[in-house]
Amino acid sequence: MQACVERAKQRDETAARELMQQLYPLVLKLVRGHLPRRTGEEDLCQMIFIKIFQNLEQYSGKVPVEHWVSRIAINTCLNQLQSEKVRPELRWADLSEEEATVLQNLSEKSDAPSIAEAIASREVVDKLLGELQPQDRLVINLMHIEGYSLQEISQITGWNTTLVKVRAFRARQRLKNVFNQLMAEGKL
Amino acid sequence: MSDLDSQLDKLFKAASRAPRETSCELPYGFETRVLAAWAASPAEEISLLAFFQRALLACLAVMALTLAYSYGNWNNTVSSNPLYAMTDSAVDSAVDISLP
Repeated sequence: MQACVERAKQRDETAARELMQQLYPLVLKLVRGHLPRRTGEEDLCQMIFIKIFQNLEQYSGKVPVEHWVSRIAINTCLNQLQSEKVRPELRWADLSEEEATVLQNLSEKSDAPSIAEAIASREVVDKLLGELQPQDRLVINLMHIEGYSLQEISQITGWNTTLVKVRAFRARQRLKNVFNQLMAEGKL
Repeated sequence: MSDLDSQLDKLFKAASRAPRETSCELPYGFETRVLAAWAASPAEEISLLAFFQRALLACLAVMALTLAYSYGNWNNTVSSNPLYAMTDSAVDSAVDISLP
């Protein structure tokens, strides 16, 4: 990969194509996890790769290429999210029937969720995260959904571990408030 | 851990089990579009960078010339001023006298 980067720096098109093929799954995964609502997945990936190639000269090789690319991808997603207006407050009525059922069943002890329940849960989480600021959304997603460790999040985002901890704690508190309001509404 | 926390964790756990889209193939024409955009944009950046570099060099040259001119002026003022000349001469004389 490193050799490929060096060749791409010399404007080698074949190396650039090779680099794109190797890095596309990683970029796509990050984009899918943090996709802004009004931007297409492909458009955002394209934007990220253009940034990667434009800044290739600045890549010093001190960190793995994947980490450097992850930072560019995440920052691009965050910038895109920040440019979007805040979504109106999430109400119980905004949930589909399946999503409402998932929330109503949360207090019950159950086994592993079915695929349909998992998909509905993911949609509820996406709606809840939509109420948070982009950085809060990012840290919750990486930590609780993707299951990354503090160190991994630190490497991906470039934030130090203390900052990750603080942001994760505050983001969870904010998410809890939104969740609490939604659940209270559902009990009415 | 509060009831709310455990419910939230349960929701996260269920959400993380949701199947993801697995297609990771590059869309048709993606590479070409990226390469075309890359080829188009850096030239502008490089020329902008070159412009700033040249502007910086020009500024440094103007600064050096101004400094040289100011120094020359100051030097002329010092050497042509009779007051300075008298002081210099007095100092020279004193040095001549004190030296054996």
